[in-house]
Amino acid sequence: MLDKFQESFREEAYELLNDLERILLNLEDHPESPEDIAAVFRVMHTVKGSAGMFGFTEIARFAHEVESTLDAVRNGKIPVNRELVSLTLNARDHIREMLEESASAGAQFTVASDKLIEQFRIHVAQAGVAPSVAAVAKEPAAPLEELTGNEDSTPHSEASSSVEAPQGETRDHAHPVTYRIAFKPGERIFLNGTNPVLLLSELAEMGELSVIAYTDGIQPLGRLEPENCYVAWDLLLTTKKGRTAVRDVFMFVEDDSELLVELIDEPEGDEQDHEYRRLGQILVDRGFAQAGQVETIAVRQRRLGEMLVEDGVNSRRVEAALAEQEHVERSRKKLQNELSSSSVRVSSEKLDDLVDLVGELVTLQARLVQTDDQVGHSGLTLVSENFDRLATELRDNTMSLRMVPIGTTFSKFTRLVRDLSHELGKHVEIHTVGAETELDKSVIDRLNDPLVHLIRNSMDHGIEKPEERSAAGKPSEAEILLKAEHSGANVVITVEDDGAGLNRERIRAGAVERGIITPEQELSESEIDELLFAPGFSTSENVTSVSGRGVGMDVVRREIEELGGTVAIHSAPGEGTSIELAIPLTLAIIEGLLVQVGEAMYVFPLSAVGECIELSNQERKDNGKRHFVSNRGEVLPYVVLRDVFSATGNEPEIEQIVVVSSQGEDIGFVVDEVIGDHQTVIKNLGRLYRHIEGISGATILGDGSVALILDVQKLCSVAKRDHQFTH
Amino acid sequence: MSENIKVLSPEGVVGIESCNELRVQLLQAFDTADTVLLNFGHIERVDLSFVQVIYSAVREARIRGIGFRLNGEVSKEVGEYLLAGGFCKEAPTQARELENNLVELQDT
Repeated sequence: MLDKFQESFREEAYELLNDLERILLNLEDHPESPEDIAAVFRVMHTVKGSAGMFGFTEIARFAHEVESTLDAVRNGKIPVNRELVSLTLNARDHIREMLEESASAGAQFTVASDKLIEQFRIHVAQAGVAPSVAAVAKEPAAPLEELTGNEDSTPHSEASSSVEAPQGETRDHAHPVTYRIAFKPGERIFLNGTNPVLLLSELAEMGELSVIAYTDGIQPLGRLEPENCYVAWDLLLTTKKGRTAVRDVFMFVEDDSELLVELIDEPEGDEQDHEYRRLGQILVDRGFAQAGQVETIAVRQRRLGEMLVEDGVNSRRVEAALAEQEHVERSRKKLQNELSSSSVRVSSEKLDDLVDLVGELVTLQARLVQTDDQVGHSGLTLVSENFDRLATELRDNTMSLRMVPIGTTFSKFTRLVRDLSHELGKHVEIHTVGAETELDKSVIDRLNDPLVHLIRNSMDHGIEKPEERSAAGKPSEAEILLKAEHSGANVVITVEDDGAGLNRERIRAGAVERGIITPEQELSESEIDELLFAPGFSTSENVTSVSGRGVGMDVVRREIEELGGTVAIHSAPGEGTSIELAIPLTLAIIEGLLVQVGEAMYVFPLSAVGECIELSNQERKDNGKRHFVSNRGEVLPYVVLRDVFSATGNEPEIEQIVVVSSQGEDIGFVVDEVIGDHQTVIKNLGRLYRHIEGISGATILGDGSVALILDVQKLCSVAKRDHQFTH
Repeated sequence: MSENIKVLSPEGVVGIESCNELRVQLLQAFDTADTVLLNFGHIERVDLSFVQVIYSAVREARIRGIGFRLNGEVSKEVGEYLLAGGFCKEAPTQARELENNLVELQDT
């Protein structure tokens, strides 16, 4: 059971740490943003509290130390600068690393934690902060029991508490609850630099906030002292946050202020109506009206609020009570609406199992269709057709469950660009477009490394140093655009920079030097660009830690092709380079074109197929060894799959050419017969067959036999290599 | 008989450091003018200190029977600040909107 809770904490912590990274990167650009400073503090505080609660003691200890420094930042004693952001990013990475291990494995990280804590301590000391702050950072971590505390049994709040809140208070609620917060800042609050309205903005970020300001305490102009605070507030906050998180917002002003945090509504979500307490009840509970007064007025059958005001109750207090009624009723309604269309968190393993089962179902469906064809029974046909329709719907719905927005991957690159900019001394901004574009989760997981390679290459080789950019009349700050968009059954991901563009002379010279081409060989621009994908090719004069070892672009192409995708490159000198990755939406079930070659069946991914044309036996004989036909006035090179797979048996009189597109060029593959489209559930090949060129997997057909899935891009490159097609 | 109008145009950040000066200027204006105009057009940011001065000035002018008008465009930052503090129901873009929409001042 504990493991389950720890897993739940891990998932939540990963999300928090992702948020932290994003906020820190934003904070670096806007170092004075009080919202971001508060948000960073809050994340660290939440991680500390939850980690302690679930037995991750080393994380709790470490987060506590970092939090102490962030406290000083929040207090305005330490400024936010690049170094502090870097340190906090490192702390975030360290916590993430610790999260990967079991809770009990924390001890192995103590040395690394202490090293980072020491760096924070030095930073605090160098910032010239009063010794007390530096000392705070050196204090040993609070014992676990102090971090978690005990359960609070009282449903309503206390007036003030400065120690760690009880356990029931620190944890988030399952559903949003509503707090009434009565906040009267101390009269001298401005003098310690606090702006109370910013605290309200911070609260607003935690949920839905209604603000009722009381200005009746503001003094007449002749007596008013502008450095005094005369305003008070009633705040209604609907949030999932525990009371501790709410109180934390007021952490630095609580001692000098009057603060009451009261839980006034804790719906379970199954309330049949949204009606909240009556106005009179709220006013009586708040002590602004007497019960008898309300009863007497209620019998007069007029608007209660108006009559209470006539009866001497402060109009602003009545307004506040009405606001409370309205706020809670609105929140309850919203919660019920959300619950009726709520979502659940499911582990990706369970989804993978579901996809596997659907795959089996699709295979069975194919078998049912085939049996129906053989039996020819009208009742079975009806069942088969309905089954086919339902299985297709189930397949589409199941596949959509695995689709996740690519933005989850994009956000990691903001950090990469930031770190590399610093390392390379270049000013680079990254912009993302289409982060909401969805791809199968398994595809997204495998895209990370190729994209890292491309961004690293772009920053190291493509983008010029600021002085070179200025000399070329460009802004000193370079841009990288990371874009995702749908294109048919593919998603096209583009990495584009506004750097110097490819230096084709240097690429050519490098290829000659490495013996990849001869000095005399004539190459078009696109052929020169293709040289970048040759294994071990590099034009970099210096090997850096970022790139330049000649591993990268060939790896990128291989990995993308393993995903069934393609890579294309476009570049203009002085303007920049753009690399396009076209990736299939999913890897589990694809639409295929089933073909027969000899006795065997093969599947082309339908997304790669342009058209099918006939090729007569006579025409093929006439062509001899010249494997070209004329198609729509263009020369179409073709490969005979019978030859590639050494198929036996007689060739049919009329064969079919399946035309596919590879890197902008069409190539034909000659097959005996095109059977038709086929829902292809992709099965991996065993270890022995995994490295066969031109085959990417297998699928089971309706009759139980196996068809091999063709790796079209690989077949094309092998064909180009072996046949040396030229147009 | 011509009306004596006094216009005050504070600039930039109007907060705790400059609010006493504004308060004194308002008091002097109330002593000498029939109508006082406070121009928001050049104010970039404000804090609670400024808000308190405005509330106090509106009430003072009403007690004295003097016209106190707010005019000019309200900057985005100022509008959002007033909204966040619960001093109006919607972020104003024109100061004139504020005259009748500052909470607790509508009906007094």
